[in-house]
Amino acid sequence: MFWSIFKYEVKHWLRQPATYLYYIVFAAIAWFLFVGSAGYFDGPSTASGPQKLLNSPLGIHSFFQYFGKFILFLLPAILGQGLYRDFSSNTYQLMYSYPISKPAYWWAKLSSGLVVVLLISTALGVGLLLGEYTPGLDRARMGPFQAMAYLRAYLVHLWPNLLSYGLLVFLIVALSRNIYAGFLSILGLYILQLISQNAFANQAYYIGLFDPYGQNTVAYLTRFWTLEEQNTKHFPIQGILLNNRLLFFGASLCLMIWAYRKFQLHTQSPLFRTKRLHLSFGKKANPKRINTAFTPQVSISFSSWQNLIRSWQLGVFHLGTILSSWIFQSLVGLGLLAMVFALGRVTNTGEMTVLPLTRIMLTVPATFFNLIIMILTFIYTGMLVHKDRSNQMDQLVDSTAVPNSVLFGAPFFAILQMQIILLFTMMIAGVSLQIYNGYYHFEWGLYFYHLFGIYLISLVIWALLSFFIHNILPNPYLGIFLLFLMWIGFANLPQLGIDTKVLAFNSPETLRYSDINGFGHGHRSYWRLEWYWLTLALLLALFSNLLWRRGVVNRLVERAKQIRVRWNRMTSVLVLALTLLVIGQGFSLLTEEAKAISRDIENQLFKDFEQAFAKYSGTQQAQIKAIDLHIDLFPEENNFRANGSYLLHNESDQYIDTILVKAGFGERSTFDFDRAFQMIDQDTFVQFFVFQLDHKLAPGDSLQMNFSIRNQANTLFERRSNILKNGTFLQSDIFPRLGYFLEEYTLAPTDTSAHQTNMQYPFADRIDFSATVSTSADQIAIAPGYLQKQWEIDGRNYFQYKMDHPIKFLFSINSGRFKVKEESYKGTNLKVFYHPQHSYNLEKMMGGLKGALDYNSEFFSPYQHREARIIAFPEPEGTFATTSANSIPTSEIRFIANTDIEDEQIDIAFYVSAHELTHQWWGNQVLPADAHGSAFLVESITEYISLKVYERQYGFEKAMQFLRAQHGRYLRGRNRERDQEYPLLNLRQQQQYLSYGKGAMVLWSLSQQMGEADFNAVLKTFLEKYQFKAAPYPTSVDFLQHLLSAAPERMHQIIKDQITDVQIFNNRIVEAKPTKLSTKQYQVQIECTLEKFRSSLENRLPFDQAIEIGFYDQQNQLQSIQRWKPDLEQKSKTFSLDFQASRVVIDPRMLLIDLDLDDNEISLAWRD
Amino acid sequence: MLHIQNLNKTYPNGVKALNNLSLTLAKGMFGLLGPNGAGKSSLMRTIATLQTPDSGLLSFNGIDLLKNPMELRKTLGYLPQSFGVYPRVSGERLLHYFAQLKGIASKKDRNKMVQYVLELTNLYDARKKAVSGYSGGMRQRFGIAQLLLNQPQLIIVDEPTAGLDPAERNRFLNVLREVGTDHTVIFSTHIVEDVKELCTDMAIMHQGQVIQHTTPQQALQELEQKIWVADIEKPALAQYQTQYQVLSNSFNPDHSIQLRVFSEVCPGPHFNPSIPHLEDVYFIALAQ
Repeated sequence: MFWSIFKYEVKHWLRQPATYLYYIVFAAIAWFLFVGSAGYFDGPSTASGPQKLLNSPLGIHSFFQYFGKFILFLLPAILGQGLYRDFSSNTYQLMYSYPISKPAYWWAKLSSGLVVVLLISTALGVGLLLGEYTPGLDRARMGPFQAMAYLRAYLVHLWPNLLSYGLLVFLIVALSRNIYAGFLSILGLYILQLISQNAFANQAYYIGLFDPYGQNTVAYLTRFWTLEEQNTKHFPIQGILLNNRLLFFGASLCLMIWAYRKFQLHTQSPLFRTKRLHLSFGKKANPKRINTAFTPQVSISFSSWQNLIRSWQLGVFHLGTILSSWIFQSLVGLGLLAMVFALGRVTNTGEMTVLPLTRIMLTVPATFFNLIIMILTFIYTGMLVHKDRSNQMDQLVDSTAVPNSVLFGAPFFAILQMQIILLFTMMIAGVSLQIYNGYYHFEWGLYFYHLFGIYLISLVIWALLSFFIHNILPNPYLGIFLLFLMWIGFANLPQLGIDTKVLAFNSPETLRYSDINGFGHGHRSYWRLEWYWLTLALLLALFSNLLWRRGVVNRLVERAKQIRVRWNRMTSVLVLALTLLVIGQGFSLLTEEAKAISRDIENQLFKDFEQAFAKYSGTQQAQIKAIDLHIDLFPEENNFRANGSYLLHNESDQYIDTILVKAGFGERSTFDFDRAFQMIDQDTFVQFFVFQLDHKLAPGDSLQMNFSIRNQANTLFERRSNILKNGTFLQSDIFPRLGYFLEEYTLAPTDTSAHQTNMQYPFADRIDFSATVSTSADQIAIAPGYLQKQWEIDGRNYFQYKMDHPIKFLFSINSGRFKVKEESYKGTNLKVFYHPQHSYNLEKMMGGLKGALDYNSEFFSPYQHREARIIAFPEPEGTFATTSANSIPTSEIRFIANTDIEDEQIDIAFYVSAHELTHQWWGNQVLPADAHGSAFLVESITEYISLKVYERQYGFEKAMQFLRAQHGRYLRGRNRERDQEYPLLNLRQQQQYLSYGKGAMVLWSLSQQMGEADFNAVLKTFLEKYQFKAAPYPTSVDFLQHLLSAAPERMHQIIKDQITDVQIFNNRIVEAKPTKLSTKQYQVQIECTLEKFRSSLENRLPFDQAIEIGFYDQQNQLQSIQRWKPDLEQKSKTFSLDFQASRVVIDPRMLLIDLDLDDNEISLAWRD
Repeated sequence: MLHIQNLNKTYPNGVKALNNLSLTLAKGMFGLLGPNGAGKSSLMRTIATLQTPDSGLLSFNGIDLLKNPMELRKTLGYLPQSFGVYPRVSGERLLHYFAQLKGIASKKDRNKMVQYVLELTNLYDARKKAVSGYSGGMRQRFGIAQLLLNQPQLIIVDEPTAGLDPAERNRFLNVLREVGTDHTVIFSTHIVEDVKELCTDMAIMHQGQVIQHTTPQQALQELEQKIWVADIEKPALAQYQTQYQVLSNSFNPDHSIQLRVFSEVCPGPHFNPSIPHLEDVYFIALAQ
């Protein structure tokens, strides 16, 4: 019996075209995904150095991870459907009356479905394999083919998942007799993963253990792997991974056994019994009975207006069924749950915690819920389109005189009503979450506009497409599957090399909202695209209406014939009008798009430039000594115009006759000199100009260069200037620079020629700066220096700024509708220019400035300016903060950070302000050379000092909390590193996890070991040596030598290990046995493992180090630190204490870089 | 007046459901008889505008059904052979739903009409219950209730009495009789008795064609004195079937067989004359 059902089922699926469609689609997607990642559609790669391999065991595994989530949807579609078929076609009543045994029926259905799904899942491997052998891929991203990688991915990951969740889906469909419940349970897994990721915020082990896909589990196992290891090693199948796999399989199996016992070959669902009607007639007499002898007179109307009302009212009827269905309710419940957890995720990014602003609610949490609405739209349009037919009520409905437009309109309105209700639900949930988090500034307008404007139009377009697809396809599951595919596919068209938005159905770029600058430039193009897609969707709707399945017609061809009867003059007019509109809009959008230069052409043009102009490399150039600017900002039109002049000075001992000018890439500039010249060469793409002076510039002589700049005209899709409607943040890269520096590469810090140029800019030391900036009447403009004059002409504000001593060539011009907080502190003016709504952290920002001012002046030197000002800029421009002259442009996100120290948060507002102001000393007073390792001088020292400022403000434990965050940053960065991890001495500029994360840890450690005062004294003498000096500039090697010469002998090895090597530790307390000797004498015996490595866990070094053991008292204060230098093999030691410690911690001051901090401490259980 | 001319329909699987069928019907109850697969349902669905013929003409009171199906639907009441309903929706709500589809614009009118049809079909007491839980007979009466909502001129009911118990069947036929007097009612069945009780006009269909169009009275009249019965033993049956035009046979309680035979004259001495049944008309027609 088992075999006959099994064979019948498998044959059934093998006869279905859908089975092959799934196979081909999955194989094709896998192939596309692989070759797309390997740069098949992108043209030649420009990246250099070692890269993450796509087909390494971990690479293949991550493809399986990504893909495995989609393949799970096959389970309801096949496994669930296999069972559900018997219910939906009512065969079950027949089947169950046959002498079929329950085990045979259950296991045959289950195993046959599973076998088919497993067979289809091989499509993934086939697609990837084809991908590996596709010619024309970027070979730098490919290693040798490894069959083992595939085998492991299948055996450890994909098949266990399919098996576990196959059981789950099967039992859910069996008990509920509802296939959508199967789809729902797969969605539930996504939510479960999300929940586990957020419930165990920083406990990677538990996140890994409770990940239903095993994705975070492997991430946990490989979290310390370097690029090299990631490219070659197989992830181990052990411990947490096995536990995770067994946990979820076991849970599914238990549920399955329970369900199996509950399941009966019975005509009623064991879970949801429908109530049978028992009636008796004529018992209740109704007093208001009417006379049936006369037919009542009623008026019949099918007017257009009446039909519209009718559609709406019938929509409400259908809506009722949707809202009362438990599938709907569960999905919405899951959506809300996802929203709660997603909020936790966006407000806490690991590096920063932010307040739950409305615009934050509208990012990830709302997107999540919006996704749920879209899924519900796909599902319920399918259910409504097929509702009459699946209930066998179609003949009754179809033979009424109601026009198709009502039969189509009613479900459409039902979906629309559902979407609106859900958007309202989302809004209420959002506001509730804000209230829950103690945030009460509700922006109703933003909610309404975002949800009922931006979201709703997109949802309506999806709904119309969904109606069309479900209308032409006979099978709703196929329809849902296809719609998902289209949704993912259209959004990923650029991956296939199709860059035009005109083909990517309803997939405009996500708008990024800033409180300061609103939706920005993308807003208009969003609506233009959405109107375009809406027009097309309406055209589809028209055809849905014409093709509406009515009566006993099955084939699409027959239905197409019906169009002839249904087509009338109105149809012609509408089709024509809509088609013309679609074409017209598409054409106009394409025209706008054509204004941009494609990537491929761009690469080619750069190559051409390099070939033609490389001959100018090394041409001696003059230095910029002074800048005078006049710049007009037009925020409303996103445009600017600038005029200005440079004072150039020949600092070399040669005559200079060629001036090389690299103008702003996106700008259009013209030039003039105060003496006769000719332009002898130019490249209009790169904006590179070669000028020849008629009279050479003698050594020591000066020259004035004038220029005027304007931005290129903005297009619909591109804002070609950094001028924003509010919160403009214009940086110095729009201004002309001198020299040819395209092929420039950074020198090693040991290279003596590196000392000649500073890291900021090769052709200027420090410059005099003055500027006049005009902006619109309601905005304040800020430029480096001090405000000299302010006036108004023709409704525009003018500001004149002048700097009183030279600054490095890095400046910014800001403009916005700011409020200003101002304070004078020890002779320095402190100002914060902020968005009026962002007043949360102003005090803390001020505090950071003051703290840094105090600390740096105390230990190093006085502040070189009379003013320090923090200026907000919109988040889409970046989340960073930076220092330019006496300004600190700071992303708006820092203004809305949650800095509640009481709430275990890090005061990022204080910290960032302290950090940026400290750059006035480290980065401005000392300007490092342009060499590897320079970020160590600038960022690491600054980060160390900021940490000390932070410690002063908030105490040791809070500083340790921040240091742990730096530790996390270092480990994460290390794990993501695609190049190699260099020692601090020659770290690369972009390796921020080293310059900030590791750098702060190392300098903190040195300072702890040498003593703060001594260590800072070393920094001070270094600073004094290079303060405000021009070339030679210092490199990291200079700093190292300075440090070694000033530090005591005992520190030398430690300093070298930390700065010139990559050493990591893996220390762990295994056990701690406390013994109470008397009320004054306590003993703790500690057993631990101490390990030291170079670069990776493969390279073990002897542990020849002293280590600190810390003991916390009952008040959780670090009461005692004991130093211990273990012998090579020693693992255990007894410490004496004079207090009853509550916990013991290895390396409590974090002097060593330990991979895993979680296992470094242990609580002590004292027994009397 | 329903006018059907040269109707043809062949399904994609090759079955010729309607074969050059022509028929003209006036007001009154029209019974359509025929064996399973004769094309009754195809014909009725075609008249109900739910499927289009390959060729032919169809008109009702001057409305061309093929060119203007919507006009016909306004005066059409159709009860298909089998139908389902949305689950968990009460009779009353569902009738309101249909009333909307059938064009009754105002809520007041819908209330009136829904109450009227509920009364007429004797479903008023069950109006708050889900139709999906109705018994077979109630469900068929609900089918009548919904078709009456637009006061149709043309009513099509496809095998409505199949599967009903005798009491329900009577109740149903009474309802149908009540509504059918002033309209054109097409009523298909394979229960010949239904036609006798209800219809003023009838036709017998076979293999997509109308093989006899008559009235019950006339048909019976024509068979007066031409139906004969005889009791025979089972082994003799085969011989009788070749020798006479046997219409039907049935077992007697003593396991002998009673034979009904059509013959212009008395076929033999052991044959006795019998009163013609409508069933006889049916079998004679099919035999030709």
